[in-house]
Amino acid sequence: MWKWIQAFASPQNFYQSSERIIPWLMVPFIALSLAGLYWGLVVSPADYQQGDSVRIMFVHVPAAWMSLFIYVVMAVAGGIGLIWQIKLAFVVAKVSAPIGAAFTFLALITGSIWGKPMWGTWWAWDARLTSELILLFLYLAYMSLNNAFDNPKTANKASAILGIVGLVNIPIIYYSVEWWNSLHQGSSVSVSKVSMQIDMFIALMLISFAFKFLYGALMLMRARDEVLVREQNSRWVRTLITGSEK
Amino acid sequence: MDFLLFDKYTAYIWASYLLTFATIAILFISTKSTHKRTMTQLRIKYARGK
Repeated sequence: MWKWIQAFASPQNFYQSSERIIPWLMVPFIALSLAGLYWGLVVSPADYQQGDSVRIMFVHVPAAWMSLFIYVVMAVAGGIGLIWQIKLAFVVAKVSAPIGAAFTFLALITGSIWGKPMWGTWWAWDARLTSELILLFLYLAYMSLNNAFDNPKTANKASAILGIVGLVNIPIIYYSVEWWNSLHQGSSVSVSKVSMQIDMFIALMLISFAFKFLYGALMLMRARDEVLVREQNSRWVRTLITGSEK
Repeated sequence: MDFLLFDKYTAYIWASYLLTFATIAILFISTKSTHKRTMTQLRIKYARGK
């Protein structure tokens, strides 16, 4: 297993192997998205309290889950890079940041759109909302720090440390609705219980898995590009671009 | 097409879904354009013999 990881993690092998994986992520993304849209907008009933506005939850909740998931991937990848000096781990961390920031932005904006008809306001300085906003700032800080250094090694290390330190915000976001008196509702889905109508749950899961595949595809596409930039002085990149060895 | 209307929440729901679609589209377009730019820059670099 470790040998396979080491072989896959070599930039050249990764570049070649990942090209074959991307279509296998894109096809499920498209299929699950279409199924999720159908289930969320057509099959799923209106909620007895929220009415049809519950349909916003089918994009808001998966986006919020992705914002946390990608941050953890980014921080863990940075940690792996720091400990085992695996170059590809730093690449994964770097390219994950803008994707995570986009999902965090999406979670905040769709939550705000849902909040207007439900709470009567676009924004409240609630613990869940504020900690999610801090997550967006952490992503932006990570990206800024990563671009602030000319030396890629220093940039990798500095941003990886920031990513690991920022992990403290993840349990704060998750438990904020329990730790503080929050306007935001508690979790409707957990490992032990699902407290929602089955069609709503199916719509939520379909879009949630679609977003996972989307992240996988985008992350690989961006990582391939980053690998080319970092390995531009290698012979294999020159051969790949020019088609001949010089 | 009635199933696309959601009472008083229609605008909020469609705004959310359109923003989601736009965000995903921007992520794809930026990924593709970055790749295109990288390939062009590397071709220029190798053509100059650096």
